[in-house]
Amino acid sequence: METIADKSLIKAPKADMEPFIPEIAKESSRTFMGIEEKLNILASGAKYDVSCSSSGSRRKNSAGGMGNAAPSGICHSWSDDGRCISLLKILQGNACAYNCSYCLNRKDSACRRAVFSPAELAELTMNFYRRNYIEGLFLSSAVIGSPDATMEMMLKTVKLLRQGHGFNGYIHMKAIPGADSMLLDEAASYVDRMSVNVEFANPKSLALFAPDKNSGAIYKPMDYLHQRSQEQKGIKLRRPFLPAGQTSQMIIGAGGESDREIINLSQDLYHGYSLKRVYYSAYAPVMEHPLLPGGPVPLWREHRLYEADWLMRFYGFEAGELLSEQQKDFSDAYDPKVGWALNHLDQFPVEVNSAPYELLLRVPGIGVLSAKKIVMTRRFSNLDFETLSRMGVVLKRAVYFITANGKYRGQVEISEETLRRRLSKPEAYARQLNIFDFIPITPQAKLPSLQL
Amino acid sequence: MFYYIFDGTFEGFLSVVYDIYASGRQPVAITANHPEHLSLFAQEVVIVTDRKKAARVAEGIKKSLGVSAYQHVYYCVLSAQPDACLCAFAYLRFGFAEGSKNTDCRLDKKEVELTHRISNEVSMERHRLLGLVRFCQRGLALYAAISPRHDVLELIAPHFCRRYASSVWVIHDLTREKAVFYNGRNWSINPLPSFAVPGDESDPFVDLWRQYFAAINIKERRNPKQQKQYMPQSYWQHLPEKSSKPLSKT
Repeated sequence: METIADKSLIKAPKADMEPFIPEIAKESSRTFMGIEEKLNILASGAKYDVSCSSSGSRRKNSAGGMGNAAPSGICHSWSDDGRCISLLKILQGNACAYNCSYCLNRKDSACRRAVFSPAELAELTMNFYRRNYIEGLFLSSAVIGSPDATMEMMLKTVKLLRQGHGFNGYIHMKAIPGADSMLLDEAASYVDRMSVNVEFANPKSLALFAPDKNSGAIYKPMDYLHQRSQEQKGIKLRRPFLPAGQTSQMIIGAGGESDREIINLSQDLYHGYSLKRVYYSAYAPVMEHPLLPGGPVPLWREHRLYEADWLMRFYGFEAGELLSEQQKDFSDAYDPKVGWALNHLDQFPVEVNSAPYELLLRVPGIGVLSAKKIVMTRRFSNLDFETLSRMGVVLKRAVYFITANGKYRGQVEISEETLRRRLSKPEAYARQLNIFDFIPITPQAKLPSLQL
Repeated sequence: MFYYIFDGTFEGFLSVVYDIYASGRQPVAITANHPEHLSLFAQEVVIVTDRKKAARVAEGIKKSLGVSAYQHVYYCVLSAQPDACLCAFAYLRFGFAEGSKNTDCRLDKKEVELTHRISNEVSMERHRLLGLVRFCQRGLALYAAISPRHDVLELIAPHFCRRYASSVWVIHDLTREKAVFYNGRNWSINPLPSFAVPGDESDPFVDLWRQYFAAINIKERRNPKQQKQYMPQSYWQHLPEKSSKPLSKT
């Protein structure tokens, strides 16, 4: 199995890559393409980046300055796809020197090109910010010319915001793999968070689909920034160094990775580089490529990975507990926690009045908030099912896994098969049993009743 | 059976609590509105806000129940939920009777659980509005209109004072016909009729924001249910990005 240790699989980047600035990019910065048009092109080019979080930083406003950061993060809108909009998520430019086959902005793509000047982008950010449209800036970019040239331009934008406009709002900036570490260092002292996208859980996929990138070059800036953050811990700095840490993102389902490979890598990233978040993005075909899947990857897969991610970060689960050599992918039918519980029925039911907090967290249907409420209230009062409901603990799924004052309300025997049925999404459960293989389905035919 | 009427402010509510404990009159309602029907045996008590008495009650709550209990009561009183104030009083009565800072752990008690639920709802709206307030440039000042369900104006003001410390701005609660005014140094809340500020469409960044909102969307992943879950439709009237006006073509 490949993990970070295998990053050496791929050779070092070509040092002799020629400075490459497409004609059209030069044109866009020279001519008078309107702000509105650039905004359209460069926001559209950034939309597949998932992260929009603005949390984790306590940057204060300065005298005469504009803005501050809220540690909890604030969402400002939700787009029609239901995703939160917190930051102005935008590219410095989309005229890319690279030719990654999954990317809309690749060199060979026929898309329209544009580049924002630092002044234009800073002006736009300030004006959006003062109207409370956004919490700050998420600045990414295609590789314009070289990684260094790109980072320099982005850095100029960021410094203009911080120094020229007195901006103290949130800034998330992409680190461009291959850029000089001096540039990384300087950027990290102006922004709140940086990120490098891992893109593929398996380095082989990266080599295949992104011939100009290599996983060594991706982990290098991540590692460097992590080291520098560790070094500066506890030191009082004039400008804080990445107060909101680092994040990363993976494309799901394009390279044929299993869920197990993905969550193992996430765990390594959380432990090894102290990442704050790993984002998952179900692959959606934007470019045709013989080796890429033709259709979109189902969104439920992305959803299951996020659930697993939460289990690892807030519920004390290890990646190895959720998936194994025998079961490499999550099921559409039930969430990863139910999956774990079904394989560990010997640990259930647990008594809510005495089970330790860590075990309550492992009960399907009980979240962090409910577990905390239970632990807090049971110090003063014995909990029965009525009290649990009144406290707002949702019992729909939990009821099969708990007792309250010794009473069990699940009304079925605790066996894997019964519970699997009860806790599955009916349509997905049917698919799993391959029922459709032997029951003829006509549009009018009713689905077999699976609920007991 | 006493029907308490006060001015709807938090200090007013605390004055009511003071009176209940001083007089021993048991409330059947605590509200800012005169009742339409008063039951035969109920008697109206109108309480005039008394800052000194309110301050004493506030101190008492913080001292014997703790600061978080104080905040729950404060938020609960600002709620538009009918009977929220009576619920907050029941919570206080339970807390004072127990006389312990563990009141907030007693989620098995109906009055505690309900007060938390109401206060969390207010807190949720406050947090939502920190993101959903939309200013537009009116001359030298920024102006925003909101129509919140709960009376959260005074809860959101400090955030915007920190954020736009050197600007001049107004946030106008159209439902309650009042506004918070910030002059670059301090803020105050004053009455402002809802017709006082006419519409204006000359701010060029409104359109740019709407362009951005359209461009960042992934069409293939349309999910109106989730969008409405996080950003309920009742807020859309003040969001330029959800206005039905067609976008200008680029």
